[in-house]
Amino acid sequence: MIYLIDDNQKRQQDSGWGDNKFEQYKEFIHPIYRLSEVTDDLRNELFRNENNVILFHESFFENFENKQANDVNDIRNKLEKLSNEKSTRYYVIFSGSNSERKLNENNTSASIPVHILYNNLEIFIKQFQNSNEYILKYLLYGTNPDIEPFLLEELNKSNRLFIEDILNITNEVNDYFFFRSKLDVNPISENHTTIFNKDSEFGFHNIINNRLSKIEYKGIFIPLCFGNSLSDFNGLRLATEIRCTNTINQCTPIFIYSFVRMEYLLQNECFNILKTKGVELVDYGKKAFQYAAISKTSSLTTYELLEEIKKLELQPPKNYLDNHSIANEWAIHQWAKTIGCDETEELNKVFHNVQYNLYFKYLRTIHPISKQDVISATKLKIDNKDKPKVLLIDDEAEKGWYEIFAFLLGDLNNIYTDYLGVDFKSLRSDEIIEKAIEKIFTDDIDVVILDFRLNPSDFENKKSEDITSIKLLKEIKKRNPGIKVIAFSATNKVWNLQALQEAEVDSFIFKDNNENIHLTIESLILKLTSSIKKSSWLKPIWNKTISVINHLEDQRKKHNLDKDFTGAISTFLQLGFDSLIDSNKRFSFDSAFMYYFLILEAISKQMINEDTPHQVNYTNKNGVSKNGYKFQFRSNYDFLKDFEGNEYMQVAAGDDLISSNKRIPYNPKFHNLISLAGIHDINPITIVDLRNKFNHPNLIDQRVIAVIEKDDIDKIFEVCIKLLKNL
Amino acid sequence: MAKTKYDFIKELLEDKKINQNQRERILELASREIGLEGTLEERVQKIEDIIFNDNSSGNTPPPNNPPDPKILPDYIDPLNLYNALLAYNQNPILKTTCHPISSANIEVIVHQSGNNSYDYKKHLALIKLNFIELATNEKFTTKMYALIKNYLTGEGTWSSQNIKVSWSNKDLEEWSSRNPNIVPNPEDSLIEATENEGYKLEREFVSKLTNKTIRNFSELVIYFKSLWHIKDDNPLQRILEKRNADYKYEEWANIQFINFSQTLNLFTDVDKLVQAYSKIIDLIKENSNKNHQEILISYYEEGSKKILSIHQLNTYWKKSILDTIERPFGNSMLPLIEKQINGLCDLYIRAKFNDNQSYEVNLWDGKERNAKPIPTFDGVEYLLILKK
Repeated sequence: MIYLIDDNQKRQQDSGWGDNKFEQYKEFIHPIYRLSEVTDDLRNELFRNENNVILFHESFFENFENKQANDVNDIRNKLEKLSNEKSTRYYVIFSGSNSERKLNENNTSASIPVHILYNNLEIFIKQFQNSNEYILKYLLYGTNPDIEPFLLEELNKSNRLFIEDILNITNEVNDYFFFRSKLDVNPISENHTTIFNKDSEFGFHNIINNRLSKIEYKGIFIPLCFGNSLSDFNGLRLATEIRCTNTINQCTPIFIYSFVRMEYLLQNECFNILKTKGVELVDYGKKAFQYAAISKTSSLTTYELLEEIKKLELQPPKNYLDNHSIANEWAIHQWAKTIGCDETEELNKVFHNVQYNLYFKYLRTIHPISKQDVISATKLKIDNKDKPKVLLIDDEAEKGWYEIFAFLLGDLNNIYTDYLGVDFKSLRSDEIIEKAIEKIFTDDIDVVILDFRLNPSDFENKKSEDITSIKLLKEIKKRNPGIKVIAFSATNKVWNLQALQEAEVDSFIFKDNNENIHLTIESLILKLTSSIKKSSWLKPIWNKTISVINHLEDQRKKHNLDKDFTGAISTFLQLGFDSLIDSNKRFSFDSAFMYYFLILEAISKQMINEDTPHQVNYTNKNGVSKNGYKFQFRSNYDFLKDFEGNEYMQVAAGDDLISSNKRIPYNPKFHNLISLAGIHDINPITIVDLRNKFNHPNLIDQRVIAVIEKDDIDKIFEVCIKLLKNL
Repeated sequence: MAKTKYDFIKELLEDKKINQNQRERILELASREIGLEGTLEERVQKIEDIIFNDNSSGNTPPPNNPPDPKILPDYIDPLNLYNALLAYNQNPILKTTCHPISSANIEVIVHQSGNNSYDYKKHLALIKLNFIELATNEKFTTKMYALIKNYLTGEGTWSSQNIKVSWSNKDLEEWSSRNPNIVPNPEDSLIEATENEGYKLEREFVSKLTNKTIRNFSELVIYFKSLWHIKDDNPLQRILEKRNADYKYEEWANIQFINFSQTLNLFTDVDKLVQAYSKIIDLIKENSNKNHQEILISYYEEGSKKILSIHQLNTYWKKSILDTIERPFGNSMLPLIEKQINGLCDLYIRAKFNDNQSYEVNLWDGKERNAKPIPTFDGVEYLLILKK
């Protein structure tokens, strides 16, 4: 346990150690503010137990509540002795009047300035969490304890030499701007600012915008080291930030003054800034400043800027969960900008990150979006006459994607748009699927826009078929293949696309964020338009298909229908629908039509007894007496009727249909079927005519095959369903 | 500044070939080296004083004359200085003059000054008032009193680096009116909260004790405290090592630090202690006929005492035991007692005497001197006993 003995709670709060932080690390650190808190047990723990760290503020006993009869120096010396007795008992004294960090040879006791202790305390605790060992040098020097003392000493040396150098360079550096660290010597120019540990994104952004937006300088001097840790070499970061921030000094020459050689910087994430034109590493000394100032380095041109920034090859920031989140935020930003979606409250966080985060600034610099790049609202129009419903399923929906689709579909096109609002991180994969299915079918969704990775488990190495979205897609398609699913993801892995394809995804849109974004968005509009149109048609067809299959099954169970018959009908229905699903392909309507026609034929066989017709004598239209046949419905034994006005009828007019042979032509057969089913608005002749023209085209005279359209499908499907329901 | 540098500057100034401009340039450079402040005339005067008249730093060996009978000064108990400095360090207001100020310190200042927010002038008034009260109740040595008084009031320069900037500086006062509610010596957390480093020194300098750059008032107050507080980050060994290097003792002596605590805390007059150390090293040199010497330096705790020991090996105490007790201080030792030891620490010796007997003698502790026989001892050990 770490015992932090400091009477001054306010000092802790000022240094970022408020109640919340102590609560966060309560397993590791125990603050003591008053002597009265030190019970006998705690005293035993403090002084006798090993593997404890005592952090003791020099003035603790000067607080009137902690006054001691003993000399405080004696107590301190006793603590020091105790720490030296055991290699696992640690003692650190800290004070505002300490200006140095000192560690004894055994690494068991140390003295440090108060602000250093609070700056590095979290790092020290985390290091303990990782190694289960207290290593005091992390408390003294932060994350890089092996290099930090060297850097501090070198800085101190450079400061001494700087102060002792009597060279006056005030005039030479008059038109230059100086950033300085509070560890550096006092400013040498009127144009200067001190960087107070602003090693945060917001800090960098603000200081650049506040200090470099008004006057264009001849050059900018930046300290290599500033902030809590010298070994962060934040100067490289600041120079990179300046290059990626749109100010009038974006192209101004930059001189990074350094007291160490370049080899120390090679591993820094912003090292590449030194490879770019107009950025130089100079010595931390007046002569070097003077030389830089008189060297008249010229500013970059706008064209050069883009080329130079590309050299940076910045890597995504480490403070993000994964690259997926970064790509997502960047894509959200680019999409929002391209479709002209105003910054809304929901998009604020993304826009804030993109505005302040260096990596995003870098991307913005190399992939700028100008006003001309915004796609006009008219180009984003989607037909909404079928009143479609669209559902977005994306674990990043609330981060901005829903806002983008709400704008694109809702605001611009008046299309109902919703998203699956569940906790994707805490739910299991199967729970996400369950919730999604419930929402899709309760809300009667037509089109689903589906992200690829929905659950943290999807980021682990698993087979594509185990990914949540693939399983969900299969479930949607199983329940209603008429619902259109557009995969929407940043994945560009072939095997993922294959898995989606195998799960029968309808289309795929890449969450593109760079140069192809225009094409991607335009393609999305086309795909949405097509999906909405198809879904509004196919989804009810599927529902009816399933409904009638269920009906047939019921009838079969009741022994009203033959098993072979119901089996064949179900197969034809599925085949017909499958053909429609493939409606991107030519002639898919043809196949569907023919399957449905086969159903009509099968129904007629099922309903009409053609096997044992009644032979009758009749007089034809020419007055000739002939033998013919009458046919009965199997269900009620009624004879089939003769419907007038049918030029294809090859029988005489009369009440009952009389055929000259033992076969019934399609038209009268279907007329009777339709009539029995109570369908009056569809003329079966058109269906039969179309079938005949398709099956027996006159290729010699007309050289065309009949074209089957969507309306034809609607008609024949309607007839099929109604007939089947009557069975 | 090292003795040889003084000699060099002196030689340059005495050179008839240099013109007035060159002379002023040399003095300007010398003043930077010494860290003096003030107008050019003032600095010139001070440098000339140092070079031509002043021997107070003890860098010139005393003349080898027979001792004059002198009246010894009244004994001043070193505990007085310790107690006075301890009280200074614990006084809630005066503490802010020797530590960077935290937000909690500001609350105390604001409360005591009856204001709603920090006000430099009221703070300064409180500082002066508290110091007067403290100085009335405690017994500072004259030199330490002058040091603190000048540091607080600016009535003169302070420290061996003759610093002129003080809490009552005109420039600091002007800075305060430009930066209302900002303390001149903020602690780091305050610096970041206010984005203000406090008062920056017009002329930065390098501490001769710590070799660190002093750029602002926060660093200046720590420098001030380093003049009277030996502790972990202001360890005595480093200070003495720097002295050895500056004065090139290693040219004629092998000085080893043995049993030297790096962490023993002590409030004392660090400048005086270093001067006393130098004087004793000079005495050793004086008595060594310029032969190479072996010297051991220790700093350790013994009960309530902290002892700085300077042990010259392979020698003996050249006076008889009787002489030592009756007339211990000749021309060489007397100034050491008068100017450095008295009020700073007690002085004992352990030595082999010329009769081959070994004794410990309390040369200066306010008590009657006596010789305590001890087992055979090699050389002469000077024990500077710092009390608390």
